[in-house]
Amino acid sequence: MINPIFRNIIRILFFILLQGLVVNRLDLFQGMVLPSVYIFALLMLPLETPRLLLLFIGFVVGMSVDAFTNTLGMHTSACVLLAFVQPALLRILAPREGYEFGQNPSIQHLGFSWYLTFAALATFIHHSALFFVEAFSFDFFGHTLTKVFFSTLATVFLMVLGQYLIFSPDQRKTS
Amino acid sequence: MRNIGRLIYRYHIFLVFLALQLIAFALLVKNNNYQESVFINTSNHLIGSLYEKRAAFSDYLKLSDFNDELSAENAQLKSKQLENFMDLENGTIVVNDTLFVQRYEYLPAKVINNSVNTRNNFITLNKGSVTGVKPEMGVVANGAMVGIIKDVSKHFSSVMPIINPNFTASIKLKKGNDFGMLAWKDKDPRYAQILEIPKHANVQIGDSVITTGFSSFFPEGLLVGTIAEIDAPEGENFYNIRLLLKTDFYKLSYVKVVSNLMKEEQLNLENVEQP
Repeated sequence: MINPIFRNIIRILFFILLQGLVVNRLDLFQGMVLPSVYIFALLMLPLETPRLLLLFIGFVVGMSVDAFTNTLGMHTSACVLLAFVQPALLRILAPREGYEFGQNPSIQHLGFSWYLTFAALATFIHHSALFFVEAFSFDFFGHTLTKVFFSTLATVFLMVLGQYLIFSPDQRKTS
Repeated sequence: MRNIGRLIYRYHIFLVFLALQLIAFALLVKNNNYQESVFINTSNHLIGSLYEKRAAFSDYLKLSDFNDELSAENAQLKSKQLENFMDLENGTIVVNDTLFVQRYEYLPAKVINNSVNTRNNFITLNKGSVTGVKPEMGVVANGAMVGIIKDVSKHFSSVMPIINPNFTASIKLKKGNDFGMLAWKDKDPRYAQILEIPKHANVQIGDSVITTGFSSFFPEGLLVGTIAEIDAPEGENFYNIRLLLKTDFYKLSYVKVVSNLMKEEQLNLENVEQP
């Protein structure tokens, strides 16, 4: 078993590179759909992560993704917001008996419908911040909102897919 | 005093959140400024070399397109060679004189990253200050305007293309010589807008639009695109023109950086204070 800290760092690096080198190149429906799959790594951070650390991780991750697209500040702002609301979101969505120690916010530990709600809410918050900061105004409100909606769909779909790719079915039974 | 400390401690998460957001927005506003150079961007060495590796992969798939482009350009150049011209006046003596002085120099570069689908698009090239690229040089591809160099590192440079809302350039109609401004207000990377063409000008769909050569970035007469739509709003003096760009930003791969050898001279002259 690899150290969870090390595993999370590797995962974050992998997803930043995936976003910067592959996903940003996708040109779906003339830029209408622009998934940000790297937030998968942020959402996978352990439940026990201190809030302060979470904020700084969000800041650094956002900054790294921005470096790929010359949009310094855009992803940074969205990620810091996500890191700020993520613990609150987890608290709202907590199961009645609370989280058990060592649980991950994943399909493996908390089930499909829980993960879908969590991922959809978190992604929607992140994407709204991202695209409205990108537009820097409410001028193209409808356009930006459609972009948020469809990109959220795409990101959540990819994240659920990623969950099943990371955890094989047998692994799910044993743990 | 202790109460203030306790208060800060109680809200420290929120305060850190606010501070980080402020930094993010400060960076955002600073980076949106046209000439402001930033330390973290795609001309950064690390990101640049990552992009270069990826470009090496994806270019392999586009080799046949590159070949077509090159052979077309070759054919064009071949047809301009001396042996293809007929000698009209036998016996004239050729004298090398100094009537011509080179004004523009071209430097080939490769596009290693290119965004078309964001609101602030950028292009990264694999040539930097080592090979003589400097900020504010023009970039052209296949005889058409692409953009202007924004940031330069040792081995890479980032380009602000026409399809960036901060880009402007002076242009003119090939027919009639009316001047206007080029700007990108659409979200469509195939089109741009022309502003400030007066209504008395004779404009037709399909007319060519070229550079003026007023600015020190581009030589005169470089093709920008052709007019696609003309709109004459009531009560205004100018047309709204939609321009179909000559450069296909989806397929951009090889470009040339224009270096104006007389830029200093021109700028010095223009900056002389009037007596």
